[in-house]
Amino acid sequence: MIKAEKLKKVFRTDEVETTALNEVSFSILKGEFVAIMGPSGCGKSTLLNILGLLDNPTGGDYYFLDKEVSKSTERQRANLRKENIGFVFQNFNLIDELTVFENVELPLIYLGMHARERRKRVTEVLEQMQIAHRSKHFPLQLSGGQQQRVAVARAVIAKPALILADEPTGNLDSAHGEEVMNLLNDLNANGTTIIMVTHSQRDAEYAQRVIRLFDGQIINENIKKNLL
Amino acid sequence: MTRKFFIITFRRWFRDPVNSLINLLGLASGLAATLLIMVFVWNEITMDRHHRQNDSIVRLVQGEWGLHAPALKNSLASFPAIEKTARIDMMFGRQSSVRFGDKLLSLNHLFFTDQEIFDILQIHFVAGNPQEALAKPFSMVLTTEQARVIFGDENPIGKTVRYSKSYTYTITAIVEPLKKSHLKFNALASFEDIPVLTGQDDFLSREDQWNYHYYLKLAPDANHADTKTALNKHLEKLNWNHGKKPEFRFQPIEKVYFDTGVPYEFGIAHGSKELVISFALIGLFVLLLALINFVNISTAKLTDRAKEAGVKKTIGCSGARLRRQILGESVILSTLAMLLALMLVELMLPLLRQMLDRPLPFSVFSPFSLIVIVGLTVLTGLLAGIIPATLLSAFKPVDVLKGFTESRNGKISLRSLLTTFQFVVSIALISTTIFTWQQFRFLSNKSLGIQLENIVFTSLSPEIRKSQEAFKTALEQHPGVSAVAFTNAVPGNITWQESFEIDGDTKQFTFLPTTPDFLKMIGVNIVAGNLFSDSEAELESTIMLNQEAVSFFGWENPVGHRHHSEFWGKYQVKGVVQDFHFQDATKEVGPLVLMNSKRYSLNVCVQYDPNQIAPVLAHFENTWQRFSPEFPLEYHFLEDNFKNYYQDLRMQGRVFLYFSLLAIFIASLGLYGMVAHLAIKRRKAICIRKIHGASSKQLYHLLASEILILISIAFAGAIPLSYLFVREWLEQFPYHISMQWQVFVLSGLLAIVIALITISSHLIRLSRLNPAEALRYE
Repeated sequence: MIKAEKLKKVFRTDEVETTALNEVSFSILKGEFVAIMGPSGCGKSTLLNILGLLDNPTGGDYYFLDKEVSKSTERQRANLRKENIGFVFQNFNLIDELTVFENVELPLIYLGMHARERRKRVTEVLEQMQIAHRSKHFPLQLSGGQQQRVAVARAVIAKPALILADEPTGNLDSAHGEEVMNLLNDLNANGTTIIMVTHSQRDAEYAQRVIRLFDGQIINENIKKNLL
Repeated sequence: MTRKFFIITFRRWFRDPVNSLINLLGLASGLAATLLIMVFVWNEITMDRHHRQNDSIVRLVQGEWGLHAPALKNSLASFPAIEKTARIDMMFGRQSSVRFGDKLLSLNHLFFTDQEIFDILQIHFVAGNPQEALAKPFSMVLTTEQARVIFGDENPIGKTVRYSKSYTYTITAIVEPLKKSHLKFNALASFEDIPVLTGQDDFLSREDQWNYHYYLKLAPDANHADTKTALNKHLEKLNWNHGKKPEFRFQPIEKVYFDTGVPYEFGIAHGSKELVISFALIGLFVLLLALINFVNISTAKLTDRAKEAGVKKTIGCSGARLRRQILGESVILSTLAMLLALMLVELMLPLLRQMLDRPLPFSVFSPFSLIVIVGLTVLTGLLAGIIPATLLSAFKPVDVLKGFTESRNGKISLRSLLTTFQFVVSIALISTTIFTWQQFRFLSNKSLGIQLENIVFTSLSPEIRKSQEAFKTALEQHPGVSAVAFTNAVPGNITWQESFEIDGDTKQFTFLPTTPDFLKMIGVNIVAGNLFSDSEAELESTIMLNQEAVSFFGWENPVGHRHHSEFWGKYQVKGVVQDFHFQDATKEVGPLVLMNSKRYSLNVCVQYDPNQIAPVLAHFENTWQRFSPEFPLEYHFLEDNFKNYYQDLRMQGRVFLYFSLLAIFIASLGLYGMVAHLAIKRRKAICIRKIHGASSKQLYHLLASEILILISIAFAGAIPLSYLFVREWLEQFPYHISMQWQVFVLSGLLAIVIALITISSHLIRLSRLNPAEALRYE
C-alpha cells in the first residue's frame, strides 16, 4: 500500500538547515498496523505528514496505492487524502465552533455526499463510537477521551483504507487511552491499515510492527513474532 | 514608572505594526473628519453671536416680508425702548463700479446704511472711527479685502473714488469683513445718499416701497413682546400700512441666518439647519466608526493579553490598575492620532473652505480650540479603551493561566456586531450619497419649460439704460448674435412681488416687467391668446399670466380680461403662457404675471450662435465699452446662473461622497483588522478542513460567506435607515426623484465588493495554507 524510497525532508530557515528525514525507506502492506517510535525531534511527525499527503518530501520517492505522489500538487494530494486517509491527532484537532455531529460529518461534505446519507452514516459511526448522546455538544464541552473518540469517528467516517494516528493517546489518561487503542485495533481487525506515531510502549504493543526512528533515520524495524 | 509604561506601550505597538497602524490611521482620519465637521458646524451655529448685547439686536419682520419702507425710521425713533435703528439698502445687489485713478473696478455688496449700524453690529475698525465713518454724505467705508483690491498697499483713508461715473466718495474708514454674519458687505455708504443717487427726492419719506432692511437695538431692559405690541398699535393708529393691521415682529439677529421662512427678503446669506444637523451626524458616525475599529482590534487581542493580565493579577496587580494601564495606552494612541488628525485638518481645511464656500476660521492654538482638542482626545481615548479595559480586568487569573480561549460557541461576538454596525453606516451613507446626486442631476436636468442655452446676460449700466435701443442695434451688428432682449429680471432672479385685490381678497404673485423679445428668446409656450407686441400702446397696459396665476386668480376666460390696480392703473390680459420655472426648481412654480414693459428693464440678454461664442463675447465687450466706459462689463451665462442655485445641493452631495468614502475606508480598515484576527484564530479550523479534503476554493467560499452574511445583515439594517432619512430629505423639494430600490442594491453590492477586495489577500493566504506547516505551530 505504501512504499517509501530514500525519503528526505529538509527544513530551511534563513540561518539553519535541518534534515528531519534522511533517506528513509520502508514499505507497509494493506491491513498492517504499524507504530513509529522514537525520541522527540527524530522526524516521526514529519514522516507521518508525508505519509498522510499533508506535505511533500524534499527528496526520494513515495508510492501511495502504487502511485508515485512525492511531487503531487496540493489539489491532487487533497483528492487522494479525502478518499483514502483518515487522521487522528494527539490534540484531537476538532473545530471548536462545530458540534460533534458537524465535526464528524466534515469529510463526507468534502466528498460531496448527499445530506440524508451523511446523516445516516454519521449517526451510525457516533453510535459505534458510543458518543451519539453528545452529538449536539461542542468539543469544548467534552472530556479529552470523548473528544478523541469524536476525532476517531471523523477519521473513519469516510471508510478510509489508511488511518494515520499521531500520538492518539498523548493527551488522555490511561483508561481513555486504552479505549481509543481498542477502537483502532478493532478498525485494523476489520481491514483498515493503521500507521501510528507514539511514545508509548504500551500503545506500540497493539501494532504488528514498530519502526524506530532516530535523527531522521530508521534504526530498527521490529516485527511481532506471532506475525512471522 | 511612566517611562517604562511608555516604552512597553510602544514596544507592544511595534510588535503588531499592522493593527497598530490600522488603529492609528482609522482613529486619525475619524478625528480629522470630526474636527473638520466641527469647524463647519461651529461656524454655522455661532453666526451673528459675536455682537455686543446680542440679545438686544433684532431685525424687523412683518408677515412675509423682511423688507420695509424707508419712512418707517421716524416712527421707530419715537420709541424709548428702541435705542438704535439702522436701515440697510442692498440695492438688490445691483452691479456698481468704482474708479480709482485709471483703475475701473466692479464693486459688489455695497450696502447703503445709517451711521447707527456701528452701534448695533460688532464691526471692527482697522482705520477711521465709527462716530465719523458715515457722518458726512458721500463717505465710504471699505472692508480690508475690498480696500486691498482698490488701493493695493496704499493707505486708502482720505482718498477718493468715483462711484457710478458721477459721484465722488471719500474713504473714511477700513473695517474687518463680517465673516460670521448673514450680512456680507464689501463696502458701506450713507443711506441718506440714496435720494441723490436715484434722483428720487422724496425717497426718504416714501412708504410705498418695501426694499430695505431694518436692524434695531432695543434697550437692555426692554421687553421685546411689549415693545412689539406697542409698535404695532402705534403704526395701526398712523394707518401706516394702508388700513391693514400691522403685524411686525422682532427677529433676534442670531436667528436670521437659519430662518429661511421670510420669503421676500434680499441680500441675506442663509445657512441650512438640516445641512448642519446632517453634517454633525456624519461627523459623529465617522468618529464612531473609528472608535469601533479601536475597540474591535483591542478586544481581538484580548486573548494575547489575557496571559499578561493573569500573571500580573497573580502577583498582586489590582483590576483598577490594569484598567488604568489599558486606558492609558488608549489615551496615548488617541493623542498620537489627534496629532496626525490636526495635520490632516490643516491640509484639508482649504479644500473644505472652497467646497463649502465659507471662510471657516480655525486656529489650533486658540484657547477654545485647545480645550476642544484636548477634550476630544481624552474622551476618544477613554471611550475606545473602556471596553477592552473592563473585559481584561475582569479575567480571573486562574482561568487565564490554565489556558484562556475565546469562547465562540455559536455566540454573536461583540466584534461582529460592531463591524456590522460599521457597514450599516457605510451602506446607508453610500445610498444617501447616490440619492443626493440623483436629486441634484434631476433638478439640473429638469425641463424648465423654457430654454436658457446660449444666452449671456448682464445688468444694465445707467448709461445704457438711457440708450437701450442704440445699444441693442449695435449688438445686433455681429453675425454671431441671434437676438438681443431687455428684461427686468432673468429666470432664477425673478422675485418682484405684487398683489391684486380680487373679490375682496389680496392675491400676491410674482411680477416680471419684460419685453416680447425676451419671452421669444427664452421660448415661452403660449397656451391662450397672443404674445405681447412691440406696439407702444401696449406698454404697461397689457399683461400675460402663467397657468398657475389663472387658477390662482380664478379667471375662467382670462384672455381679454381687464383689471385695475392702484399703482399700475388699467391693463388687459393678452395671453396665457404655460407654467415654466422662473425660479430654480427647488421651489414650486407659483403665480406669475408678465407685463409688457421697457421702462423697468435692468438686464440685457444676448443670444448667440454657439460656434461663434468667442467673437460674440469680444463684440459684447467692445460695444459695452463704447456705450458705458465707466462700468466694467460682468456678464453671466443664463444657464449657469440658473444652475448656481443647485450649488448647495451639489456641495451637499460632494460632502456626502467624501465622508462616505472615508466611512468606507475606516470600515474597511476595521474589516481588514478583523479578518487578520480571524485568520489567526481560524488557522487551525482551516487546516483541519483541508486535511479532510476541503479545496482552496471551498475554503475561500466558506470564509467569504461569513463576511457576506455580516454585510447582508448590515444591508438589511441600512435600508430602512437610509430610506427614512432620504424620504424626509426629499420632502423639502417640491420636485424630486422617487427612490429606486436598485440604488439600495447597488449600495449593498458596492459594500460587498469593497469588503471582498479588502479581505481577499487574507482569505487567499488562509485558504492556501499548508496544513502540515500550520498544525506544527498549533
